[in-house]
Amino acid sequence: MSSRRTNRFTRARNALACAAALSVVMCAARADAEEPKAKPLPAPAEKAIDFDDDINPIFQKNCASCHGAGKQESSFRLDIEAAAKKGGDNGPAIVAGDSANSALIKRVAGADADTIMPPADSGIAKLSDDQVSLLRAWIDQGARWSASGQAAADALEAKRKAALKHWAFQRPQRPNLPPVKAKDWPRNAIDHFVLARLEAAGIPPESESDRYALIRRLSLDLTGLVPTVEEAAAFVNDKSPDAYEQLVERLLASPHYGERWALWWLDIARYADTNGYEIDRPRSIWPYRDWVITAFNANMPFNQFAVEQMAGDLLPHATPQQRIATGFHRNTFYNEEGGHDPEQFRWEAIIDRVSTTGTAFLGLTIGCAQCHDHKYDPIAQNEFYEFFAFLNNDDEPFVEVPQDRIAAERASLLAQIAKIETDLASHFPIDEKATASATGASAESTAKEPPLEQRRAAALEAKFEQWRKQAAAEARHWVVMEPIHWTSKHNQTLTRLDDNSLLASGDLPEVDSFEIRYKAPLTKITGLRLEALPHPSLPEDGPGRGYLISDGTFFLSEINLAVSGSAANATAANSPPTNSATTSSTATNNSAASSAETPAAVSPPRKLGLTHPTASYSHKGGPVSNALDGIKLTGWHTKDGAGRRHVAVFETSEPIALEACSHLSVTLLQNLAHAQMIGHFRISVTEEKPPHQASDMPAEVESLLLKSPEQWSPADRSQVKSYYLSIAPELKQEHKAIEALRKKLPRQPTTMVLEARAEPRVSHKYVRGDFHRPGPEMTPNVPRFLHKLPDGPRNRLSLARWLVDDQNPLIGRVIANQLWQCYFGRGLVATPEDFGTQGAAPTHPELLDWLAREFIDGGWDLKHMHRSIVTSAAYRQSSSATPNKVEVDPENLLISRGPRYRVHAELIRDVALQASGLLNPAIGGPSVFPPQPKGVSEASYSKFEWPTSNGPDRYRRGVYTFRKRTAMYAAYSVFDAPPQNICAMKRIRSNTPLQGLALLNDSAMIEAAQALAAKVIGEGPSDDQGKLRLAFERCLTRPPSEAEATKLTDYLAVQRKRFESDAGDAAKVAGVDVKPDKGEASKVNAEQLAAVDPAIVERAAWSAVARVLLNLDETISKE
Amino acid sequence: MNRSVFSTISRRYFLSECSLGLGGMAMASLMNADAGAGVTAQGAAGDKGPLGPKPPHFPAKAKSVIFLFMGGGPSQLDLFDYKPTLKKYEGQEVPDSVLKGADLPFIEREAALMASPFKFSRHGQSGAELSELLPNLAKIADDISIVRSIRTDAFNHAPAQIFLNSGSLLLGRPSMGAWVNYGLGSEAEDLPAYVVMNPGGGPSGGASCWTNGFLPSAHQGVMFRSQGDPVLFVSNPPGYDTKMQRESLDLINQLNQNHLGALGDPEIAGRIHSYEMAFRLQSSAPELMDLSSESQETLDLYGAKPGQSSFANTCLLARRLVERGVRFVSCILVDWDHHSDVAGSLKKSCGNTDQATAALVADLKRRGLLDDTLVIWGGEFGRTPMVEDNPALGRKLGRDHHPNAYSMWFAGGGIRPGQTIGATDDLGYHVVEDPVHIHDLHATILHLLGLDHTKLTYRYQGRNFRLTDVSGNVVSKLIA
Repeated sequence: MSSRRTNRFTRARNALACAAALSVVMCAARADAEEPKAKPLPAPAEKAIDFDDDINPIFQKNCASCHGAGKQESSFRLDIEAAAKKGGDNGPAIVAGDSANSALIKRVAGADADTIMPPADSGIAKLSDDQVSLLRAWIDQGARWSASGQAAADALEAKRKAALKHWAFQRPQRPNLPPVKAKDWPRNAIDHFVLARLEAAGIPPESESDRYALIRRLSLDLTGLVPTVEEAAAFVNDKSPDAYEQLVERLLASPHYGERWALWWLDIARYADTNGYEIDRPRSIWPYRDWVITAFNANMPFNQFAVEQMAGDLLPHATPQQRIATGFHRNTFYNEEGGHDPEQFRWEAIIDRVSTTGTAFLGLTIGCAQCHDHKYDPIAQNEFYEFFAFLNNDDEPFVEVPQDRIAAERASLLAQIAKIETDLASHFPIDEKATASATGASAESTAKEPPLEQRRAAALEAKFEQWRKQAAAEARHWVVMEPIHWTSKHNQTLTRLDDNSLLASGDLPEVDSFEIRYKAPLTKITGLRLEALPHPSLPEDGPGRGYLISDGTFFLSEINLAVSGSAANATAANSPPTNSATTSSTATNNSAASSAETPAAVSPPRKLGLTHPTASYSHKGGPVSNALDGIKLTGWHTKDGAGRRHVAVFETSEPIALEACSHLSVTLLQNLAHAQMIGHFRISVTEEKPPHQASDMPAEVESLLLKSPEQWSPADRSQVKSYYLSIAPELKQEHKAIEALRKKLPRQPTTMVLEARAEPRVSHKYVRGDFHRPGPEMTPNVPRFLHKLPDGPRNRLSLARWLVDDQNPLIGRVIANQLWQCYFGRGLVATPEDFGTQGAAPTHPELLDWLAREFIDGGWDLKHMHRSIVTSAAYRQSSSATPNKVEVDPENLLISRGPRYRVHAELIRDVALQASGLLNPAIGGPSVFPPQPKGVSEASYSKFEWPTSNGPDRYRRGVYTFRKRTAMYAAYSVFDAPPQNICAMKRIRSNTPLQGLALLNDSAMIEAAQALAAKVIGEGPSDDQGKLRLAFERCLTRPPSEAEATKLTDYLAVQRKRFESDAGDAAKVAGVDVKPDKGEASKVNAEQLAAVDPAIVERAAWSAVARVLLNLDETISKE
Repeated sequence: MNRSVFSTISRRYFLSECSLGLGGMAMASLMNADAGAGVTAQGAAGDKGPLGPKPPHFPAKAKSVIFLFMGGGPSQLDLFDYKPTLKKYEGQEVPDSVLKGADLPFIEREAALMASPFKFSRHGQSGAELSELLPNLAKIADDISIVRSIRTDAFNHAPAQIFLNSGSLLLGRPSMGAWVNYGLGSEAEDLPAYVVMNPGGGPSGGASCWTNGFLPSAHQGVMFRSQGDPVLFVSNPPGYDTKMQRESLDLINQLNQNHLGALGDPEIAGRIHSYEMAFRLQSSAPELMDLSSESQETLDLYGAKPGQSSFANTCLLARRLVERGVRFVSCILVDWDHHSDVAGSLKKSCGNTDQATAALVADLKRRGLLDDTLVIWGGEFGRTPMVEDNPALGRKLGRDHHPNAYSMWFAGGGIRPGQTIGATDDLGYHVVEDPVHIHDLHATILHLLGLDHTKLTYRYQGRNFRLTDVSGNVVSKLIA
C-alpha cells in the first residue's frame, strides 16, 4: 500500500494545488470561473438554439426541482411556456429578444450573490458561462419553448388526420369475392382475388404443377424437408380425389412443421445463442427456441402465442412454459465489456424491444420515433416513450428449466452425500490413548475392553469435548441486526428476508454500493460480523452475483460503519467523540422498500473505525484486510468459494457506547469492474470482549456453544455434533469424498425470461433519444391513433392483449402478409416491416384483408391459414416462367405462376442431410455445432473455439445450429441468414460466387455427397441407371430426364475410369480414409485402402455424382 | 453453351450482365430479387447488379480504400500529439473542470497525468511532428496528413469499433466497405470487391466490423485468411483436382442450363454465372496470396516474408488487392490496447508495423497507385493523458480508453498531404480546433470516392439509412 502512495503516477493527492496550477495552462480551452465579481455577462452563443437540445436539459437539471411541475418557488415555473413568460412573484423573468435585460439571465449569471440562481445553498452548481451563453442566445432568438412546439403539434395532428384515411390503419373488413370469368379455376376464396387481377391484366394463370413438384414444394414449405422417394411415389400414384389435401394434413401434422416455421419466427425474435458485442459469451435460451417449435406444432392460436411471449409471466397462474415464452424479448444482446454502464445497455435493450414489438406485431416503424416525432406516421416521440414505459418494468433473471434426467442424477448424488454424512460418526478413528483417558480406564485393563463401536463412540466423544471447549471460548454472542432502511446505488433490488438478511435481485450493475441502516440492538458494540450467505436464486447458489462473471463469488472493496441517532451520540466508551465524519450517501436510487422511519429524524452519521479483520475464507489475491485499506480497487475476494457461506469479522477500534435510538449504518462498496456483488448477506454485532475471530461455523452452532452442553436439547446436541463431524480433521477422507460428489452435481439448464418488478421503474422520455439526457417522466400508453387501451392496469399483459385485440387494424394483415411472403417469396405488401404511410401498397388489398379476417375470425389458427394458402389453385400453379410472363410480370407480382426461389440457408443444409440419409431428426435441446472451417468462430474477438459436434448431433437440422452473433456459421452467412441482432421480417436472397464455393467445397456438403453415394450403392438397384435414378430422386424428388440421365452417367463413367487409375484420390473422394476433423490420412494408407477394395472406386465415382446433384440449382430451390 | 436458352431472358437483364466483375454477373439476378422484396436502392446509380460498377455522384478522387484499422486504440499522445505540458504536470491530478460532465466509468478520476517518455521531432518539408517510435513514417511525412482532432461516441472497444466501421453503436448496420461497394460496385475481375484481413486475430466488434448489415450479402467483406483456405471454401475438397472440379462444374452448369431452358427463371442463369466466378476465384485467390512473385526489393521494403502471417505481408497484400481493382481493403491489427506499460507495448507494436505501413504508402506511390488509393490509419479511440494503474487488474503505467480526442492519418486518394489538422488542449484531453467526428470521417471518405454521404441511402425497416446517420460534414481541409 505504501508503495502505491509513493508512486508518483498512482494518485495525485494535492488536487487543489494542482488544479490551480493547471488552470493557467488550461485557460485556452475554457473561461476562468474563479472570478465572478464585476464580470460582464457571457456573450450569447452564436448558433441557432434548439430548445429540446440546448435549453431544456439546463432547466431540467438545474431549475426543475424548484420551478418545475412539482414545485413552484416564488410562483415561478419553467416547464410551461405561458407560465414562464408571465413570470413569478418577482415579476417577469424573461424578456423575449432581450437577454441582457432578462432577470433570469442576471440571476443565473450570478451578478448578485444574494439573488444567484440556483441558490448557493441548493447544492446545485452555478451555471457555466457556456450554459448562460446558450440561455442568452435562446432568449435573444425569441425564447421559443419547444422546437417541437406548435408546428410539431400541428404536424402530428395532420398526420393523425391522414391516418384516418391510410388503408392499413382501418380495421380490415371481409371483402366480397370478386367475380371471375374462369369459374372452374378457383379452388378457394384466395383464387378469386388472384384470378380477378390476372384476368384484368389479361394474363392466364399457369396450369397446376406436376405431382413431383407439388409434393416437393409442399414438403419444403410445411416441413423444410424434401419428401422421401417413397413418399413421392405414393403421392404421384395416389388416385384418390383428395390425395393432395391428405398430403397437406399429413405434413401439417409432422413434428418437423414446427421446426420449419420456427425458422420464420426466430428471425423476427432475433434469436441467438450468444450475448453479442466483444465478449459475445454463449447464453442458454434454447428452451425459448423449443417453446416456439412446440407452440407451432401444437397449433397454439396466434393471439395466445403473442401474449405468452410478450407477457407469459403475468398470466394468472403462469406455467413454466409461459415464463419460458417471455424469452422472446430476452433475445436482445448485451455488452459485457468492462467499464461500461450496464444500465445503458439495459436501456438499449428496451429500445430494441419497443421497436421489435412495433415491427413484429404492428408492422410499424415505431423505432423511428425514438429521437423525434415520426416523420411520416402519427407517432409522437412521447408516444414512443409511453410504449417504452410498458416494457421498462422488468427484471431479467435466468430460470432453471428442470430436466428429469438431471433431477434424477442430482438426487442420486445427493443421496450418496447424505449417506456419507450419516455414516461419519461410524468412521471416526479410534485413538487408543484418547479412549483410555476419556473412559478413565488404564491401559492394563484391556481384558475388559469394550466393543469396537463403543470405543469409537468414546473416541468421538473425547475429541468432540476437546473441540467444544475451545470453540466455546472463541464463540461470541452475535446479535443479528434488523435492517430498517437500505439503498443500492445502482438499482439492485434488495429484499429483507425473515432472518434479517438482505437478498439482491433485479438489475445487475458492474459496480455498486449498498448502504444499510440498522437500529442499534445493543448499547455497546465491540465487533461487527458480515455473513455472506448462499441462496438458490443466485448464480451457483451465491453468495455473489455479477454482471459478467456469475460464478457465485464476490468482491467487497470497502466496508464502513457509521453511527447516527437522535442525539448523535456514539462515544467511544473511554474517549471523546470521534470526529471523522463520512460523506453522506449519494445514492441516486432508493430502490428498496423502507420502514416508516423517516431519515430526516436521524442526525448525520459519524464514521467508526474498524480493525482486526478476519475471514472464514478468502482467495489468496483478496484478503479481507483489503476491505479496510481505504483503496477501492482492492477488496475481499471469495473467488473459487461459490455455494458456501463466508464470514468476515471486524473489531471496532475501541468499544462504542450507543444511546437508545442510535442507528448503525453499514456501507458495502463493491467497486471493481468485472467484479461481483454480494447477493445475500446479514450483519450482526457483539458487545463481548475482543478478540473476535471469523469462522465458518454456522451462527446457530455458535450460539449453542455459548450455552453449557447441559442446557442443550438432544436436537441441539445433534446439530453441534454434526457440525463437528463436518470439520473434524480425523474425517478428512470422508470430507474429500463429499466434496468430490458435490463437484459432480450437474446443474439444471437455465433459460432467460422477463419477470415483472413489484415496483415499476420510473420511465422517462429521452431528449433526442439519448440515454444521457432523460426528460420528463412517462407513463405507459399506446399510440393515440390506434385503438384504445382498455381500462385497467397498464402493464405488459395489457399491452400484449391490446396487440391481439380484434380492433387492432394491423396485426392480422401483418401476420397474413408474413405467411404469404414465406410461400411466395414476396409479401402482398412488399415492405413487411412497414405498413405505415411510407410502406408499399398491397398488390392485392382485398386478398390481404380477406386473409386477415380469415386469420382472426378463424381463431388465429395458423394451420388453417397454411391449409388455405397451400390448397389454393394459385399456390399449386407451375412455376415455369414463359418468356412472355417474365416480360409482363417479371417479379410475379400478379401470382401469374407458382413460387420458385432458393431456400433458406438452414434448409440447404437440411436438404443435403436428408437427401444423403445423414439427417438426425431429433427435435429440440441445446444448440449444436456442425463442422465448419477452423478459424471462423475462432476469428471472433472472443476466440470462441467451435466445439464441433461429433456423433448424432453433427447431423441435426439447421435450426439447431449454434447461433453466434459475432461469427455466424460460415455456410449460413453466405446464404443470407440475417444478422441475429435485429428483428428481421424478411430475408434477402442473393446469388454469389461464395455460395458456389460453399456448396462445392464445404466439408459438410462433401460428407453428404459421400453418404449419398454409400446410400445408393448400398440400397439402390444393381444397375447404374437405377442407382442414378435413386440418387437423383433423393435430391430432386422427380426422376431424371433422359438427357439428364445420359449426361450424369457419362460423367460417372469418366470419373470411374479416373479413379481406377488413381486409387489415392478415390479413397479421398469416397471419404473412406477421412475421419471427421482429422484431416487426410496419409496417401499410403489411402492407396492401400483403394487397392484392396475396388468398391472404393465405385464409392468415389458415385460421390462425385452425388456432389453434382447436391449442387444443382433445383436441389436448393423450391419450385 | 446453349445460347438459345438466354433468348428467353429479357434483353435488359442480359445486357446488364456484360462486362461485370466477379460477382457482378452472378449478382445481376439479385436486382430482381431485391426489387421483388421491395428494396429500393436510392442513391445507387445505374440498374446493373449490385456489384456492377456504378458511376459516382460526382467525379471521384479515390477509387480504392485501404483502411489500416489499428484496433484497441493506439496512444495518440505517444505517437502524434506531442504535449510538453504533460511533462510539466506529470504526477498531478487532472482538474475537475476538465473532467466535468464526462461519463467515463473507466476513468479513475484521481488518476495522475503521465507524459510521453518518447522524443518528438519534426519531419519533412511539412514539419510533421512525430514520435521517435515512427522513424519510417517520418520518412514519408510529406505524403501523409495527420488529423489530431478525431472524436468518437463510445469508450468501449466493441461499440467504438462498430461505430468506426459502421457509423452506429449498435450491431447490424452495414460497414463502410459494404456501403462503398453498394454505392460504387466492383472493378475487380476475379476477386471480391471488399476484402478484410486480420493477421493478429479478430477485433472486439467481430464480423460487425465488415458486415453487410441489411445490405445484400454480396456487399459483405470477404475475409482473406492467413491460415487455412485464404477464402472460405476456396480449396477443392480432398481428392478433387482442378480438372475434376472443372468437369463437375461443367456438368452442374449444363444441367442447370437444361433446367433454365425448361423453366425460364433468370435466377438459374445467375447461379450458372456465380459458379463460373467461384471457379475463377479458386485460382485468383491463391495467386493473390502468393507473395513469391514479388521482387526481393519489394519484400524487403515491407519486411514481408512469403508464406508467413504478418502485418507486413498484409500490407503488401493490400497493395496487390487494390492493384487488381479491389475497392475496399480493411487490414485489421488488434494490437493497441495498452492498459499497462504503454511505453513498452507501443514500442513493440510500432516496431511491428511502422516499416510495413510506410512501405505501403511508398510502394503505392512509386507504382502510381497512391493518387487514387486512399490510405487511412487509425483506431476506434485514443488513450487518456492520465495513467492507468490498477493493482487488482495487474495494470500499471498504462493509458485508458479516450474517445474525446485522438489522432489518425491519411494518405493518397485525393487528400492534401503534408498537413496536420486540428488541435487538442494542453493536456490532450479535449479537441480545441477543427473537431472531426467519426461521422465527419465517413462523410469525407465517401466524398473522396465521389459519393455524397447524404445521398447514399438504403431503405430498410421503413426508413432510409445512411452511413452517416443524420450527421456528417466533409472535412474540406483534408481534401486537395
